[in-house]
Amino acid sequence: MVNPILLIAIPLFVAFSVPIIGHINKKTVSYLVLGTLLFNFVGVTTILEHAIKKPILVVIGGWPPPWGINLSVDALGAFFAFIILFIALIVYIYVFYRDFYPAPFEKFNMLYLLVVMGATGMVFTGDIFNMFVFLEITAISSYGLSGIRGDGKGSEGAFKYLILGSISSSFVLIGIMFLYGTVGSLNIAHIAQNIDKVNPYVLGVAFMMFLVGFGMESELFPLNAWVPDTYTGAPHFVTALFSGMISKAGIYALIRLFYVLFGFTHFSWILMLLAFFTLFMAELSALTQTDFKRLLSYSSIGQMGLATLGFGLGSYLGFTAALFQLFNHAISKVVLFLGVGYMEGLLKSRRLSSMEGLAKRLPWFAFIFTLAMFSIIGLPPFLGFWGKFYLVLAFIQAKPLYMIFIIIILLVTLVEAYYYLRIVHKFYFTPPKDETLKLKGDSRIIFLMLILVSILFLLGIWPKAILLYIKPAALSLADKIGYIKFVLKGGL
Amino acid sequence: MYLALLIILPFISAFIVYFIDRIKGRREAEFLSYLLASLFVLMVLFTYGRNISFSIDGGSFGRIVFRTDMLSWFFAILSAGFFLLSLVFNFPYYKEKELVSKEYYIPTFFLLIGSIFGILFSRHLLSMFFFWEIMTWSSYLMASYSGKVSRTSSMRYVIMSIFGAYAFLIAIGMIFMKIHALDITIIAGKIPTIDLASMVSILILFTIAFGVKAALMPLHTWAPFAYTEAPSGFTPFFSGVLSKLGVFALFVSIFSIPLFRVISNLYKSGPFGLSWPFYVVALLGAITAFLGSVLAFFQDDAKKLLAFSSISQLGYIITGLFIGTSLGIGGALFHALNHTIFKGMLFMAIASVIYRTNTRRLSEMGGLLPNMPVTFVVVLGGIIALAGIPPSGGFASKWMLYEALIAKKMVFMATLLFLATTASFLYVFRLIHSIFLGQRPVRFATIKEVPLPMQIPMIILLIFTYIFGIFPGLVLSPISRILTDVGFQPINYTITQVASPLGSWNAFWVFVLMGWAFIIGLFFFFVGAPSRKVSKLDTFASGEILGEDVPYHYSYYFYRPLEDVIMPYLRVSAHKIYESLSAFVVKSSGIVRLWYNGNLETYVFYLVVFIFFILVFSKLIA
Repeated sequence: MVNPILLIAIPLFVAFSVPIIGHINKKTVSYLVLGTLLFNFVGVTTILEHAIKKPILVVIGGWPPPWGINLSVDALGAFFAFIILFIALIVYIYVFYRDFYPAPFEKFNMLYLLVVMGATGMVFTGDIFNMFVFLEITAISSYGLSGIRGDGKGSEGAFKYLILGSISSSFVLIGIMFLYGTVGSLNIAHIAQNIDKVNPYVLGVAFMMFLVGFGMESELFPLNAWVPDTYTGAPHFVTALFSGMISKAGIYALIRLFYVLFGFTHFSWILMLLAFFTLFMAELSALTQTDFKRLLSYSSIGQMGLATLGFGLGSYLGFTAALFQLFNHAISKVVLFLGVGYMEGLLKSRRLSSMEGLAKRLPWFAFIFTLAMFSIIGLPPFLGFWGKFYLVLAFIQAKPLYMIFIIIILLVTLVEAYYYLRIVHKFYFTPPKDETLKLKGDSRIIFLMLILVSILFLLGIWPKAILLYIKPAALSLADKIGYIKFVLKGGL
Repeated sequence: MYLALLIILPFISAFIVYFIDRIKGRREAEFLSYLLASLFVLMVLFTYGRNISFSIDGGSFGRIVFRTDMLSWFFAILSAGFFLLSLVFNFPYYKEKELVSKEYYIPTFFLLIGSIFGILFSRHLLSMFFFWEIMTWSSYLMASYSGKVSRTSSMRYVIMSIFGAYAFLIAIGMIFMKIHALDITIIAGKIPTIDLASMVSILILFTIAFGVKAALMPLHTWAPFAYTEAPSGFTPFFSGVLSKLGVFALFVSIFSIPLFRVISNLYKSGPFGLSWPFYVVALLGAITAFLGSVLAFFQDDAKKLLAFSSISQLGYIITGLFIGTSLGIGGALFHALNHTIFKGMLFMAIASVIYRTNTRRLSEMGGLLPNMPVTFVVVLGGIIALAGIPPSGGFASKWMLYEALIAKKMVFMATLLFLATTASFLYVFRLIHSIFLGQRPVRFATIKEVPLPMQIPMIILLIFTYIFGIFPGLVLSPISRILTDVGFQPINYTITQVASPLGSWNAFWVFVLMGWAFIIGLFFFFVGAPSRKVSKLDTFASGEILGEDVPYHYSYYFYRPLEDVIMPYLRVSAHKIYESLSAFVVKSSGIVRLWYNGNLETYVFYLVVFIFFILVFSKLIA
């Protein structure tokens, strides 16, 4: 097993050496970054294999948990880290193949590694202050990434994200102050152990502060207003990164704090309410979109809402549903965002009307897109189906009243099915306006995307392969006592 | 292993056919797909009466079992056989006519038949749902190949279907949460432990889920559009087989999972010894049968006319199933088979006419009898079966359904069904009259009969209709075994004779009698007064001289007076309600989008308001 600390330290080191190496040879930089990401991915795979059996505690500087800084990687954290690093690797391979870096080459590589490092840190860390630090690293480097092209739209999106993001993440700091002031500790497990001593009102306010900060990253209503603009304005591989990875880190922090640090189980309705509005607003907004990328960014919000609904239920089945949903969303949205960006280069347009008859012009892309969209809608035999299936089971298990809730949710997702299938119809059953215009896609990129959709398909018909990892992750989220025990080792 | 192969093979064949088409050419792909389809038919035939099964591990959902039994054999042979025939029928169509993305058409068809096998052989609700959804999207794709015109219609179909699938999903969830099993055999054992309210809601959910496919009113609204706009080569399969899957799944959910028996035991109150939920659905079926027929006679579009007729015939089947007597269920299954055959045949015949004339409007056709004699015979045979006239199969099954209703003294429903049949005479007559008789428009003077591959499937189906009409015992033998499998009394039958509580009748003698009547009629036709040949234009027209180019064979607004009387009562329709609902959703989408107005100040305002609210709310939480 690779030491989790290396997954944070190496990218950080490489990130800061990028400007120096970039002066000497540019090609070396991209190989170096690729190597780092590859190492991280392999590392996280070994960590995941280990963490599903036994959680990993890394003590830094020889100080045992409540006092020192520590990384506490349990199955949940490792699973999220796996998603994050997998997406990071895939997106970078895409950029590497395309050989198509935005103008400030070194800055891009540096920010990329910093985002990856920040997101990994967020899911690995065991104390809330470090979580804040990593959140800031992730956020600030993603502001930079989203505006990296330096054009009007990109800068506008980046600016909106910057303003909203910096306001809301300062609230996280206030939340930390509340907790530190009352418990006198920053360690998640330690606070969790002593949470009863905190005045409940203070606790409520503290949680709300965290909700504002991390809700922003995880695209919850009403904090997600930046998403459509930033996603649309940013270069497509950055958008893929946002949707596949940064939002995942945000939701991880939120649920970790909600269930482990605060141990709220009785009023998860607030999470569900927000998630429901997230889903509802996003899906309805997406319905009449004509810009494909903007449509996808609304749908991305909607999918995060659906996952948060699963988390909000607070049961094992709900967690399972949410984790399935997140994994499916990460992969299929990455395929779609990268594909849209790639096609935008070929077709010179992102409008849905320009994609009529795509099956004739770019058959492979149309095929890949269709499969990814089927997976998002939740049609078998793709991975997305299992997320929806478990969600329905979880809702029915919860309370009789929730039956009505799940019916409404399914009706809302029907809207999603409508707008995606409409696109499929455009691809295959509408003749292209200009028959002669046959385009050629890069076979390496098609190959990369085919690998991703075949993952969706294979896990769709053999969900056990992924359930093997989701199950311990869901269990570890539900097990607050277990988390405290493993971090504090029975001490204090 | 055999069964696993049967389910997986169609999916693999889809890819093989696609690549052969790409690499070798269309002829080879065509040949190969015939071969594969015949292989499926043989493989399904082989499972007759055998109990072949295989299972895979389903984790916390228990073992996922696939097994053949008589019920699945009955529907599988129907699907596989019809699949082969419609492939044969499709090829000329698919070679010449406008289909968008032709190269994917046959492969998608193979995906569809694979998913159908998956549904039919599943003995586990999870796998059944899995394949059900695959069937939904692959049939959606099939219905879309006619291009841009198909968009709204196929969207209506798929959205309604996914809606139904969600109902199925919730029903599965409820069952799983109550008894922690999804295997149909296990559920059948444990279902009496569920409380009545949940059981009735499960029944309602199942009825919604499968009622969509079986076009039960008020869930039928997709059918007239989807059947009409789908490629004409696919519509026979669409109406003939896919709607029968709704019937199959309804059968499984109320008899294999014995919701019928359990609910009837617990919930005794209801008319005619039938508990209320079942009576209501049976009544809905009868209303569907009646209204479908009535709506069919105002259609000028030949495919739409048949689509409404399909809705109507499916109503008969649902009524038969839900009255829950041996005779009713047997009649329903028999009628399902007959409907597949005669409606498939009629849709094929209409597709042939459209293939040659390029129009679906009845008012634009006429006088095609000399040009297309084979098609004419098929349509004639088909409408005889559809109207339930002996010696066709349609008579045998409809008669069983009437007897079942009469035996239970359900006079109202029986009346509705009789009226529906009468109404069906009115519309099927138009198919013959408007298409084949009367004056032929000049532009159709030179059209020819359709190519042989299109004729053969129709003729085969025609032969089958009459064989099943004369020897109903052939079909009743598997049906009786299905009935005994789910614990009902088998039907008393011999090869030609069907017995019911009201007495028995011999289909063969009915045939002989009809034959005599026919021969006597023929005799007088030849022996009686000599007939005189007149020109088609020899008509009194107030002194006007008619030319070939003046249309006098009017079939536009054919039942105008009737329409004026009936239509005002049909102002409110389920279709209009759904349309206004979807218009409302689109409109509210425009309003919701205003939230994301792109203005940073507004977004910061949201943030501030949110923080204010949560500070107030955190008091609540604490």
